[in-house]
Amino acid sequence: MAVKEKNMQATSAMGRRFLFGTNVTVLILLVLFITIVVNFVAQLPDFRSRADLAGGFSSHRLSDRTKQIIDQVNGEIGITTVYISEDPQTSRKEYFPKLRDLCDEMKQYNKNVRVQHMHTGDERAQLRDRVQDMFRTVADEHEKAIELAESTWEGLPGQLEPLEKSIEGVRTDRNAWIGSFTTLARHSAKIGDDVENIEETRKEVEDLVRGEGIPRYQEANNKIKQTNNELKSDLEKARDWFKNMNALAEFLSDADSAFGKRTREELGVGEKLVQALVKAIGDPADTSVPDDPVPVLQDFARSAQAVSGWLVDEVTRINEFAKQTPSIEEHPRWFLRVSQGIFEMQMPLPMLLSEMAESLSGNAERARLALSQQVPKDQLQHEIRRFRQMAGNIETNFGVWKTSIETILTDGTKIDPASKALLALAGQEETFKEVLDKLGEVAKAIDDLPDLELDDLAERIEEDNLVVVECNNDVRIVKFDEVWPIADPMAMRMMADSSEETSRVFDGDSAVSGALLSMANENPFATVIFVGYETQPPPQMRQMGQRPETGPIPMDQLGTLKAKLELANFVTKEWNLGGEGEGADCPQPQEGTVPIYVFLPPASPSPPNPMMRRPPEQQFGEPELEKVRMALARGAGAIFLAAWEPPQMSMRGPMPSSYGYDKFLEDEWGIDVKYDYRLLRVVPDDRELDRFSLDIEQINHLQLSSFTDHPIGDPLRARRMLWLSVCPVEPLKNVPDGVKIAPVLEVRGSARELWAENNAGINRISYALQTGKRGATFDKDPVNSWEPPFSVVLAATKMIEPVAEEDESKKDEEGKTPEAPARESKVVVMGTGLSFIDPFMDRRVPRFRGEGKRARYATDPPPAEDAELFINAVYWLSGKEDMIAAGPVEVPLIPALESGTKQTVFSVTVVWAIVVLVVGGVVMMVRRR
Amino acid sequence: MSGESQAKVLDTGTASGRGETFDGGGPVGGSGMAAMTAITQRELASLFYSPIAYVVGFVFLFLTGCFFVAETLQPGSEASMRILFDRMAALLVIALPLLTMKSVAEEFATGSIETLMTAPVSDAQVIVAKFLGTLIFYAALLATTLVHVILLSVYADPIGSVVFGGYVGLILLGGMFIAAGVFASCCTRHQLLAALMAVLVLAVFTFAANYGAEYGGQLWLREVCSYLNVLGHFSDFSKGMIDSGSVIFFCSGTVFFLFLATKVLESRRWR
Repeated sequence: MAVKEKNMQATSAMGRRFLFGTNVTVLILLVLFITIVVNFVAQLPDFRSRADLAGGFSSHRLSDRTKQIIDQVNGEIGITTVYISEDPQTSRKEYFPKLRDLCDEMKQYNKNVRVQHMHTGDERAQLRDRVQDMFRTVADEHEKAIELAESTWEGLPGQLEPLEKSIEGVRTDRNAWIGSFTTLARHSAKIGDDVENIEETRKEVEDLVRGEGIPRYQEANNKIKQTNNELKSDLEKARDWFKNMNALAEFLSDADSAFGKRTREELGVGEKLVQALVKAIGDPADTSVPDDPVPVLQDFARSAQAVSGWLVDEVTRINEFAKQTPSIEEHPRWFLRVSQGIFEMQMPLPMLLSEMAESLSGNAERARLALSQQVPKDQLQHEIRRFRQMAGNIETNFGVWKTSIETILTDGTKIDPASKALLALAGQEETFKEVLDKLGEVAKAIDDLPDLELDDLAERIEEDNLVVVECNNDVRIVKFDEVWPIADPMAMRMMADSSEETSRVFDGDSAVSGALLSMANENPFATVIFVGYETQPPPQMRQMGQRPETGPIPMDQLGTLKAKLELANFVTKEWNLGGEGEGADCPQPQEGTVPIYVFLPPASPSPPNPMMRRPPEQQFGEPELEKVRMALARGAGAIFLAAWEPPQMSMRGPMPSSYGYDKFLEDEWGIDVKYDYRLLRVVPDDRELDRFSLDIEQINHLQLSSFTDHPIGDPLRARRMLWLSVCPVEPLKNVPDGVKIAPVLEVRGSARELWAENNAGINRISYALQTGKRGATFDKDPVNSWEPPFSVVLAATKMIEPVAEEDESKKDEEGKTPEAPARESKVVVMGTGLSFIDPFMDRRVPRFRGEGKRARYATDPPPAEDAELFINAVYWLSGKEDMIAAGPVEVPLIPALESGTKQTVFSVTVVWAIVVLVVGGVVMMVRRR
Repeated sequence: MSGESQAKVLDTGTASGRGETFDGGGPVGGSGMAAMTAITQRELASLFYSPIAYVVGFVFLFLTGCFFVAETLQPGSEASMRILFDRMAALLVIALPLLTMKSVAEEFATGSIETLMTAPVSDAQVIVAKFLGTLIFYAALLATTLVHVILLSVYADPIGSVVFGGYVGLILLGGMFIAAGVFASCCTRHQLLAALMAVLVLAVFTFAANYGAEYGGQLWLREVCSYLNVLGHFSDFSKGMIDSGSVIFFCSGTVFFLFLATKVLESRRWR
């Protein structure tokens, strides 16, 4: 009983534990499930919110521009990263984390963004397949064309084999008539080469299409097309040649042909005439001359004239025959080897006759002249000896001509069977027709193929570090150099061979958003045409390396700005108003886009040089302005770039500076560009009131970010903008009717340390700095300085009258052009100086931290944000105001540290840690007491 | 609970003195809260009087100082505490279990757990109180790292709000780590074993998950690891971005581990 009770108690305790255990396990699983559900829901975009404590001013933020682009894309955006490089210069460890941050930011910003990070070979293969699938339809067409070419080529050697064998047969037969034609060997060799080339191309195509990676159909088809067309062209040439040869053979084999008969008759006539000539003047070997040379010379002149006349007729006849039967000119006997001095040349038979005729005609004339001018007897006798030599040569040459032409005619009647068989085969249209038709089909199939972007992608996708951006069933691959461009391209170019580690800056935001933008929009937004006035130096000076005369912003130094514009979905072109020929004409914008003109300051006229008497150089003037007016008349937007123009030095002293569009902007837009003023930021002197020194950092990198609420500048407020050679731009008091001007970037009246100085004032300040008087300080000269407020960038609009359409198709039934509505014309005038040229945009920004002896030199990344203003202005002008935004921010960096700083900081941190330990020790001791 | 009894607890500072504080108060209501506050204060006091806490503090500060000089204060690199925060988060995987290892395990070892179990305070309140005590100490430890912020500000211009976001993240991450540590401490009477368990659990959610998120063979595995990766969630905060998803992750993780700890402690009643 007791045992049973104990057992029951034990069972009861076990059961209770089991019950509790089960209860707790279920509870834990339930809580785990709730935790998972809560987390799952919390990750859903609709329930997720993010607070940006940095207010957008951090390197780990999406730029506003990228956010706008993402918002504008309809449908899903796929971003796949493959960063697997182990090369220290491009390692995943160093360069992937920031990219991952960016991708995560994008994913968290918009639920349509799907991000994948890949790094295994299998994943890469899947990615390749996916990219390939996106182009499947077009790729299939390319593949079909390749298959057609391959099947056509496969049967080609068999089809050409009989012909090749026949050719080889006559080439090895020394007696074969056609074998003596060198052209046959040339055609044979070419066709042989083409067939070999086909085999090589097939292998290359195999590698391109069925090798590793994405098939490169486009490249494969280009190779096929080239090889196919070469073979087709060579076969066509061979076909035509054989056709001609067949005709020639048929012609020559007719012994009774009119040409043959006539030639033989003429040879008889010619022979008699030549004999008469020799008889008239005497044997060349005979040294004796008649006592009375006059009759001999008279006979000679007559005979020579007769032979010459016959030869001229014969040349005409032979040439006519050669024209009708061009393949005769390929006959090996048609040419003669003639020695002229040390040179040996080939001369066609008709030319030999021509030369003989010319020689005879000249000598006959010479004999007549000698007879008519009462020349002494001994001289006439000497002439007889000379004419005998000449007549001997004529006789010899006639013999050569006779032998050659007779051989040609005789050989033609005895064409061997092998040659006849070849000509019979090759002369038939069918021999080549089938092959040429098939090759023609291949050529047509390839010509009809649509463009395939897969090749470019195939190349890019093999790189170790890349980002694949997919949207709207399109794909772009962003390369490593685009995500991580070199921090200081100018310095890198100068030390190209250096083995130092390349410093890079993260530009993934722009690179990825640029790829998205180009996919989200079928066409570019506008064509940006940079308009310069650059004149070429004279040719002799060009050879000496003299560069074109350019303004302060040369067209070839805008590469970085153009690249940024292209990333912002614009096309760029150039128009040189000072160019020659077609180069001076306004380029057409890309189809489907509006033009936006960017007028660069034209080259200033060169100062006159009294030492050189040269005509005045070509200068920017009214003809160029008229072209500008014509370009803008249809309402195209324009940006006028202006810079501070220092005076030019000449032998007569400084010349006043100039700005080519000054008058134009005043008259048409009421905007005054103060190009002879430069904006300066000064530092008040702490010892003398009203005296100043220059801020060294800001001489070449003037910080100016006081944007107004105009759409162009509004998103850029509080951004770091650095400018070079800035000049003020102001609206005139009386602006033309209808023009509305708004400031975009200005210098406010409260800016006490900013003003503009004219060239005289700049000279005065330079003098003060050079001499170092009164601590190298200067005062403000009210005569030369211009006080703020004033603007640096202005935007202006006006309505323009419609321009009569020249297009006939747009005229109505009565032949009248429908009246176009008035359009709004917009311009932006930027006094932002030289801030957009490559040497400025690609250079790191020098920085001095601290003061006096403690000042440290450091550099910041190049001033990339300046271009944001320009891009926003282009968006505004092209009517894409919704795209106006701020690009990625620049990150505050740790400056260069003085030597020993790190040791000091480390000591502080160690001491601080020890303090904590000591405090603990003290607490322990106090507690023990 | 009176102010006098609270003072008594602080003075005693031992597990055996705890019983004196619970003078018949129930586990819920005002006196329950008071008891919880008392346990929190006692836990805090025991940490402040513990040599191990100062050693942990010293090592933590020394290593963060090394990371600060070697990685954060690098000319040309970004002027932010981000890298240091990430390193600190990794260091906490070892540092915090050393602080939490004795929180409950010591009660088991000394037998004072029996007194605690009979006290009019719920198991959950005991666990939460121990958690809060350690969290406050941890916050004090974090405060000592502000010296790095001051040093960075001397040489560069870090964005203050981003630094603040990093500290918010460290508090949330620390909370989850402490909860895991308390849970581990509930599982055994041996402090070192508790520390080891906590380190292992945290290593799974940090280093292993981080590795899995980076190098996991399958995409789904990387996705899962990426979500479980505490360091990944923390990186948002170190960037100055407060993400509700990450906040929920840390809070729910903390609550889950505290719940587990409560259940483990509770199981002593029926095992």
